[in-house]
Amino acid sequence: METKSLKRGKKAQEEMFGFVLIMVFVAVIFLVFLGIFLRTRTGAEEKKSIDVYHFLEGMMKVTTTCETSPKKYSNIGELIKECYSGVQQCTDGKRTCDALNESLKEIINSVWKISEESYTKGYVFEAEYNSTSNFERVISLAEGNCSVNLAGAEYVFSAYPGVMINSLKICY
Amino acid sequence: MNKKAQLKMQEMAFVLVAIVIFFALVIIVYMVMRTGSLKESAEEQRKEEVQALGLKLADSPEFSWSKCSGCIDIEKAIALKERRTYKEFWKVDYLMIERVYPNHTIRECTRGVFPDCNTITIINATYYGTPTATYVALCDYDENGYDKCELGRIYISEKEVK
Repeated sequence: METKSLKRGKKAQEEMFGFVLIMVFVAVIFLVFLGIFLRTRTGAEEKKSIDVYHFLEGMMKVTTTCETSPKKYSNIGELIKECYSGVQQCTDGKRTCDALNESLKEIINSVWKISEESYTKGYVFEAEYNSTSNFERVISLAEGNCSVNLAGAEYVFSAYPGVMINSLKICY
Repeated sequence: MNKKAQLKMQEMAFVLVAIVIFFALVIIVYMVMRTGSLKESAEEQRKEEVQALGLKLADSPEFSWSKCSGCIDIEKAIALKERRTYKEFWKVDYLMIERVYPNHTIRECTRGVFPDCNTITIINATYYGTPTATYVALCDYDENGYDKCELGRIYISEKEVK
């Protein structure tokens, strides 16, 4: 009688072990699947945008109202360099960094139409000078809410002896 | 005993069928996701190709502003708009340049109304697909004869391959 009961108990244990094994197997597959899915999603949130890159490239050539020498109005790219060197001023007495700040805000807002109701919720623009001996932030601008999805790009141009790294992140 | 063995085999068969169904479902879901992302990347690539074509056009002698690479000469674009011979020159169904910044009056540019206008439509076939846009710099001389560049967008819709 006792042997029969022991046998049945062992069989139940085997069944339970089999069930647990299947559950663990399914859970592992589910976790692998979830991992792949989440990895793809993270990539989408920090998307490199070719649109933003072309925007940056075009924006650097836009002529501003800052006349740095007679008959010579600087474009955004030149203003970033002049703001970094801090040597020149606009002929109307305005500091190049202030002129740059105003122009950048105006262009970015006019193109991307940043607002809470709009598709684009905010932006972060940064220009940094980078050379072998020096790394310095030239200008940093941010507006709106940037805690959601991002699409951004970097545009680099030469600023001898280093380079100027300009980045723009648009938040959706 | 024989009946018990049959029952065990049946149980085993059910478990195997369940496992096969489970794996089939996992594979189907994976394939659906993969196909979706493939379609997305194909569309992205097509868009990039059209954008590259836009930049190539901006650099072509018919459009380019000599003092800056990748910039479009607005006056050249207006002159091209009036030439019928250029309608078939590029293999595109739609080619339009929009002046984005600073803001201008919303109307089509002609020699008569320029610079008080915001679009230059060079090619506009009867049927065309959704145009793809890319940002470019548009340059010209201002009223004092100084170089002046603004931000624009070039819209292109490629000819469909039949």
